[in-house]
Order: sequence, then structure tokens, then C-alpha cells
Amino acid sequence: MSNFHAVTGRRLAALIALAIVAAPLSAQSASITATATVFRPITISGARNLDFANVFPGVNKSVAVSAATSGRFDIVAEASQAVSLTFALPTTLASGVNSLAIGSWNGCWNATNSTTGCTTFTPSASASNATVGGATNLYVFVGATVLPTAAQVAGAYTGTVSLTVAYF
Amino acid sequence: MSSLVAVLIALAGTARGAAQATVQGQQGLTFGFNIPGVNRTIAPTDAVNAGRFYVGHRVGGQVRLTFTLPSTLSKSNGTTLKVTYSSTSAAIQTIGAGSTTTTFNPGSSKTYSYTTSPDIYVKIGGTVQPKSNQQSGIYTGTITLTVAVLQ
Repeated sequence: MSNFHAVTGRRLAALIALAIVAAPLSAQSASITATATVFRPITISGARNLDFANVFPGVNKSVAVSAATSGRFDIVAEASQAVSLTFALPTTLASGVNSLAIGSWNGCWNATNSTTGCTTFTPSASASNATVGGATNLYVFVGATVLPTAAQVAGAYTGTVSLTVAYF
Repeated sequence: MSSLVAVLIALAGTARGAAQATVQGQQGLTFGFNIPGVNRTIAPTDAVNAGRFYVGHRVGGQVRLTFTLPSTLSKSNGTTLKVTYSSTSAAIQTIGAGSTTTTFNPGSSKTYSYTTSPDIYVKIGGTVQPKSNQQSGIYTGTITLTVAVLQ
């Protein structure tokens, strides 16, 4: 009986010693929060074409951003966020093999669908900065000047204006 | 024999009671503003955005660091945003003169021995992977660090 106790006691002591060595003496924990904010995807639509209407040979014609025939892009993006506006602009309009030169471009952006109080800029392949309105809207207006020559061939001239909008 | 066991248990209890580490969550992990379809990685060395815990223990001591990490962050409506971790998404930075930083995989436990300073930061980064049609909004999750004192 005493031998049994001795063996059992040694085993218990060994087990306890092993437990002391292998098990953590104590453990504590703490937590933090991980946070990410995801922006809404940018949607952009060409809402109105830039229309020079009738143009006469030798007479330059401009369409202001405030004109009813200026081009307009409508954008929906994350409210109050900064975005870049990058244009791909034609240097001429085309009618078959004939071309009509474009002399200059002008632009204006606003959080409302109005050019009143809008921020002017020069559209180009270099990014211009704009800020989306608090209601997630941004309107970009585009005007330009065409330079018909005195010998400009009659016809309907067209070109494509592309706008890329990105968060930055 | 029963008295021997009682003494050993008492010794074990005394030893455990004397070894405590201090753990504090000090700074959340912030992924900031994210664009749908564009992954964003925060390095554990990012002082502003990485999550940070303070873990204090005695010089000569040893601890085991174990993260409990979310695989997604969640919006209040239950929508989730995937988050992943790499083999270098966590780091231990000693505090004090000659501060050093060592990265490790937060997906596995990490044993750390205090050799020069009783104070370290344990930092955590990661990568969020918003889908191209990821719903906009604020996503959150909880990161827990458990510190087991080994010595």
C-alpha cells in the first residue's frame, strides 16, 4: 500500500511539474477594431451632346459652358469626395474626309445641374480636380470653339468627347 | 502523499499568480477609404493605420502571442468585406533605445522572449478586397490578441 502511494505520488508530482512547465502561467487578451469604408462605384453618363449647330465658313463659333447646347456629363459618386476629371478630346470634327478644327475647350463643374456658381477649368488629358456634391452628384459642362476655314466644306461634322472620372 | 500534492499545487498557484503580462489595445486597424474592385493593404509598420497592441512583461520573460482575426469585416446590414493576412501582416516592435521591428504571420502563434526591453508593441495590418460591386458603407470587425505568459 505504501509502495502504491509512493508511485502514485511521484506520478502526480511529475504531472504537476509538467503542467507548471508546459502550461501558460497566465493569459490576458485585448481587442481592437478593424474598419474599412467602401466608396460607391462611380457612374457617369453623357447627358447632353455638345452642339455647335450651324457654322459658317470663315467664322469661328463658340459654345459657352452656360449655353443650352454645351456638353454635359452627369456623375454619381461618393458624397463630398475629390475626383479627377480626365478628358480625351478631338482636335478636329470630321465629316467624311473633311475636318473642322477645334480651337479651344472650356469646362465647368458643379454639384447641381446648373452652371451658376460652377467651377471653371480647362478640359484636357491632364487631370483636373473636382468635388462631388453632398447629394452624391457632380455635373460637368463642356464648351468649345470651332474654327471653320473660309473654304470649309459643307456637311455635318462630328467627334467624340470622352471623360474619365476617378477617386484620388 | 496528499500533503506533497497540496504543496506542489500551492507552488504552481503561486508561480502562476506572480507572472502577469499587461495587454492593451491601443489603436484600431484602419483601411480608410476603399474603391470597389481595388484591394488595399495596410502594412504593420504603418504608424497611422496599422492596429496596435501594447504588451508589457518582465525582461527575461517569454510570452506566446495569438491573434483571433476576422476573415471578413461587416456592415450593420450584414454585408461583408473580405480581409486577408499575409506572412508579414503582423509585427513586434520593441519600445525604447535600439528599437527593432520583426514581422510575423498573424495566422500562427508567435513566441516572444523579452531580452532588452519590458515593453513591446504588437502591430497588425492586412488587406481588404472589395469586390467590383461591393456595397458602399462602413465595415468593421474585431481583432483580439491573446497573450499567454510562458516564463
